Amino acid sequence: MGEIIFSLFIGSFLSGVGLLMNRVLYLEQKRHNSNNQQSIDSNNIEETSVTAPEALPGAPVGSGL
Amino acid sequence: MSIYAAGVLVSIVVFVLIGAYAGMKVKGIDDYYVCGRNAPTLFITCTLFASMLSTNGFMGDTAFSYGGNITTMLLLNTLCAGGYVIGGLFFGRYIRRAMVNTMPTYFSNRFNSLRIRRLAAMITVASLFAYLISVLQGTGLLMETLTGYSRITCLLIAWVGITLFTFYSGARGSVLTDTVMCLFFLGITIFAGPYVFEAAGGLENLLDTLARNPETPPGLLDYHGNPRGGSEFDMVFYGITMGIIWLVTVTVAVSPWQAGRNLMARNEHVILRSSVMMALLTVIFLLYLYLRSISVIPVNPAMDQPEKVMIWAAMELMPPLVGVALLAGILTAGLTSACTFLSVVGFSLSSDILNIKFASEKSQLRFTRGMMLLVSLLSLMIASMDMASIRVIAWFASTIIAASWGYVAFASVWSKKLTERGAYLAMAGGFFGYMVAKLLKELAGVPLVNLFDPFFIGVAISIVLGIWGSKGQTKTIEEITYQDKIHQIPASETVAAEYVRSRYYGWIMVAAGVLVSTFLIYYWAIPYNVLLN
Repeated sequence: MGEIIFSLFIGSFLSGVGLLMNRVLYLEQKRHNSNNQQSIDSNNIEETSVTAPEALPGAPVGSGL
Repeated sequence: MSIYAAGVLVSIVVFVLIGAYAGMKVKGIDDYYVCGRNAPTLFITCTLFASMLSTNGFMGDTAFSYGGNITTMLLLNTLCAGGYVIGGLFFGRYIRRAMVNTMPTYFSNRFNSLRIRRLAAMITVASLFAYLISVLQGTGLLMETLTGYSRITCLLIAWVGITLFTFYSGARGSVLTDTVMCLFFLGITIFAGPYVFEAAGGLENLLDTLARNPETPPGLLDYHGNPRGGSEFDMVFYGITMGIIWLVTVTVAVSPWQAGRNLMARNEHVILRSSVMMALLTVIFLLYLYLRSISVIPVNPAMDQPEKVMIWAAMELMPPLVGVALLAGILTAGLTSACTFLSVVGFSLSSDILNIKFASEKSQLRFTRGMMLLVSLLSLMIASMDMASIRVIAWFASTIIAASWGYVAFASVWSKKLTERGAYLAMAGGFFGYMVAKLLKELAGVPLVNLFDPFFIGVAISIVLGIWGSKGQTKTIEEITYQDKIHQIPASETVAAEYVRSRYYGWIMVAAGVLVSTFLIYYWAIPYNVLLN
């Protein structure tokens, strides 16, 4: 019985470390993508803010209208 | 000249020739210290494995398995293997972002402290110099056995090979030779295995043969291994504690020769992928090697010097050419490790302890090579004295770096509170705590084992001093900025395809775990329990 538990421990430990690595990489990539998306969104908002006065003549500069 | 002597000399000549080729490609300091930071997965894996598997691995670990502790070694190696991946994920990648040449330089930059750099470098030099001497002696001894030449002649031949090689080619040569030699000894070990298994009656009958052989060491086939006078629990606990020690050691990649490899990697994904490959080699390849060593038991039980079990098998159970190739592989494993130790000692001495400002890279390179020559001469002198105390020095060297700066290394990346003073005290406390505890254990016979192993005592003192030393202080702007910098993922590392590829390696590790368990249960656990019943 001890031999079976030992064998299961060895394999489970290796597999567990592999799963941990994949989990960390997955979360890291997801976080990075979401940060990227946020910075793209904020860039778009800035661009909209700059172009808005041209779209609506007379509106105050930087008002976003 | 015997075929073995010829094989030894040819392998040294090939070794030096590869070094000469690599030396021609050395253009500057980055090439010499960290291989231009451009090494791919195969190179990093091979260089990690070659520097880990020195003559100690081929001779000492196989002897322990032959003596009845193959399961202890498997347990220890599995825990250690996990450390490679965990280390790559939570430490190695961050160190690479620091773009330094040595670990002491990293500590110095991270804590903005020259005294930490000197202390870390002194610990490195003390530890690896002792390692260098022990490996030089081990390689000389192996050569003496194979060639029949005198001890001094063998030491001189080994020294010339190691010095010429390291002096000229630096890290670039070290990586190239490690790769060639690693592939060579992996290939020849696998190829030569069946000769030994055949002599023992076949691998498929090995379990049965060993179980029925009255000369099989007690406990060899049990999960706990040979208790060697203690209890079964003691031996399992020994495997777990030693495994944890090595897990911690390689997790924070604190052994500078291992951490140095991360600095050479082409990118962070290479670090992760090579750590997975390294973990698999540590578990699977070494299990194969140990299986080969226990296969010698039915043919030649109770050898006087079990350290020579692989040498004996190569000389007596294999065709001469295969035996020569295998022994040359073992010898070059020793040579590559010695070169790595020599280069790290030389780098730390010239770059971190002396820290001279040079007018040009060329003069720095010349000075580093001079220091390397000096260190190697000194190691030859001490090794040739053949003092018994060298073994004592090697005991001290084994895990001293991990005990001294393991906590500081990990905290340097992840702690928000550790300050320069805390780091310095933690490093010094870990070093002296380990040294004193080790002295008490080895010289005064104080039973410091398992959780009271000098390693754990050193780490505990280091943590306490790190926390206490940082009390009432805040990190400086420089420290905060540097720590933030190493937490920023470089844009070049965020390519989606690279993440996908790295995750394939993770899945390979998961699959390997399932296969290893299945193999052990199917070929060992179940049939052995059937035999017992």
